[in-house]
Amino acid sequence: MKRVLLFALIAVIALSVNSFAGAYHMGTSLSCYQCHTMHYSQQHLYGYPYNNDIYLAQGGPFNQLLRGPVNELCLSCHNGASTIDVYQDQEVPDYTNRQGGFLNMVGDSSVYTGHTLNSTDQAPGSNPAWSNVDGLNCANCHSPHGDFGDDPNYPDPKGQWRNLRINPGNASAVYLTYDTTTGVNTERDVHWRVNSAHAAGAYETDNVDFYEPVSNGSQFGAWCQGCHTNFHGSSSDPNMHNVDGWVRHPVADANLDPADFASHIYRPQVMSASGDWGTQGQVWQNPPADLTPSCFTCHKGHGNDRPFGLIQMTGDVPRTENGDNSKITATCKICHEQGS
Amino acid sequence: MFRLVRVILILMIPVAASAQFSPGGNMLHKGPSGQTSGLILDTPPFTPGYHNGDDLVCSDCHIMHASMQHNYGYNDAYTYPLEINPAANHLLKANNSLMLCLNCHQDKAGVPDVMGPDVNGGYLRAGGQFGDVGTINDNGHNIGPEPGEDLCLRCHFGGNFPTAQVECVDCHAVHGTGYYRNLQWPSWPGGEPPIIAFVNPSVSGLQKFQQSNVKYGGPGDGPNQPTWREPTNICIDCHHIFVDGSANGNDYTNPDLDYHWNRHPSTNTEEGAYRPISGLPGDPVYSADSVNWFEGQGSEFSIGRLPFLVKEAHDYAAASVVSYDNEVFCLSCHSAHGSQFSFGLRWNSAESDIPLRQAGCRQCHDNVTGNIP
Repeated sequence: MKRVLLFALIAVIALSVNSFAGAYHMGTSLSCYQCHTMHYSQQHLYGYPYNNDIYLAQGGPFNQLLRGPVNELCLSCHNGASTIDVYQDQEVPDYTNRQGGFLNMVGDSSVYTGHTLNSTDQAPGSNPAWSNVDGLNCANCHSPHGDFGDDPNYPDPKGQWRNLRINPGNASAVYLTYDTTTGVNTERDVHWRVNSAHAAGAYETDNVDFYEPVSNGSQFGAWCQGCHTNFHGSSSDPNMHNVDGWVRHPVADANLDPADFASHIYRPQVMSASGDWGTQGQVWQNPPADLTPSCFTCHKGHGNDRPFGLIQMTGDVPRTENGDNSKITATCKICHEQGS
Repeated sequence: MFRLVRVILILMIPVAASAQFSPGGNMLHKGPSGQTSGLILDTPPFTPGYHNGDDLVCSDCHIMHASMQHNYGYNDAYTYPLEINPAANHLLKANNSLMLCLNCHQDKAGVPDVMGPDVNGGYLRAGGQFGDVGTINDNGHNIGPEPGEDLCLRCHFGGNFPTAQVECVDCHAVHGTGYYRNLQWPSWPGGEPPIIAFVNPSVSGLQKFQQSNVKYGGPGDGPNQPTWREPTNICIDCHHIFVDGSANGNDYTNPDLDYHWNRHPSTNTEEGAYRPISGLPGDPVYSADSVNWFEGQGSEFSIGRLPFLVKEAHDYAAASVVSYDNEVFCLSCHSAHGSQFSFGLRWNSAESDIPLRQAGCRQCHDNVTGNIP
């Protein structure tokens, strides 16, 4: 009996720590004390893995019993440590090309290369105007506790892709579902080629692709639209399209020229309804005719070293966070042949 | 019954015209286009200018979301943050293509200035200058933001030549052609052959746009003539009745082929018209003064030697050679965009000093005016 209990205990601990599926910071991988401190006083660790530091910011105690201001708290793990690094260059280079790229912060030498932490600026294209008067923080986009929404039928793995909020900016109920290695599901929004945030390459661009479950929509675009209202829509939306054609670059509801796009051996991410994204490093023979660009085709979600967080890749060499070209035209010419 | 037929026929005229001359047709051009076979390899080597290849910068003209908070690190002509409201067709950075072009090409230092006096202090721009937007410009082309999509109907079937307007993208290919000034056939964009002029290879920057650094050549005649063309090939599209043709004129310039020109001759290689100042072979009434042209002396040259075309010149040096048989073409007398003088002329035809008023004419016809010094 003791052996059974011991085995069960070990199994519970192992499951709770290592074997969760999906995003970290939710469900069985949501560890309260990683972000909260009950008394703004802690003398030692709890003894669990994935918690090897006692971070308490100066100036506390803080609202919500947090260990520090939101951005500072998040970056205490996500900058300079072995956890996925989301701010500037990776001090511990775990990833060759982070799917989200990296953030910058007010006061940095360059604040034009993506999302800027602590910025109080109005979000470009927001309508109604949206800004965080206290400064943009990680929790404006990511739900600290993970997010299931109110949908009891939310598919497994439960929770939003990357714990992205269901209600970013002015939006509400924007679901971003994903599948994992457990099986292709073209009804989801994202295809993840691993099944755990602790798996090798979990945040690598090459392990992420995008489905197109609705031919004239992009859930990812709709999510970004929460703040960047005017930048997303379909051909039936007047902010995107008039009687003469597109007036803003499509992020849904427009198929790119597959022959030209597929002639590049390395390609940016696009939505594929069939789950066929070709093989990076090879000319894509017989690409689907319904490939569709969306926000992530051109921009890194967090940003990078290029203006607007643009990916400036030629398609001739493996993908990187910035792309291998210093010119904005590279972003365009990966799909558009003018001037080539 | 006859009346009914007449009404139907009248109603069909614009339809037929539109069908004949719509983009994609080649009715206006007699010679081979760039999309047909020909000795295109004979085309002189040419270094494309701006708005081509690596210098075709999408963000110069396009804005993806009609909103930009800052530039790309380029020192471009815009002021940021930039909002285009309402968002523009073709994702342009202005609400029409004319104003888009003028955002950079009007009074912006460092960029070729096509409007009014040259902000860059140039002496004489090869293209000349336009007048104000939306006005009738007696000194050159009328430019307007909405000239009408159908090129033909701007002048015909209700359109009016003196008031017809153009926009930059009628004549210049927005994504480049790889050749001189990205010139294109307005009647068939993309259908044109290589259109070439020669730019002084020793100059750079804005000097490339000065008239003194641009020379003109044309392909030779005879069988299997090559398909590249001189810049005035694009004038045919709108000014077809002014353009010469064949060895000794056409229905517009010399309908009875008697050498007594009804309209001034001009070289048009596409239609086999070569018009040397020295006259056509066997011309019994030749009256020009090629000696005066060659010597280049006299007050008439105080305005600068007018541009000329050199047959079979394949480079800047060859196209710069002054000779008796230099050829006259549209640009000899007119600036493409216009000038500060009537009709876009290269000299002041309203000059109070009569000899100077005639200066442009006298360079080739000084004998007619009595060889004024």
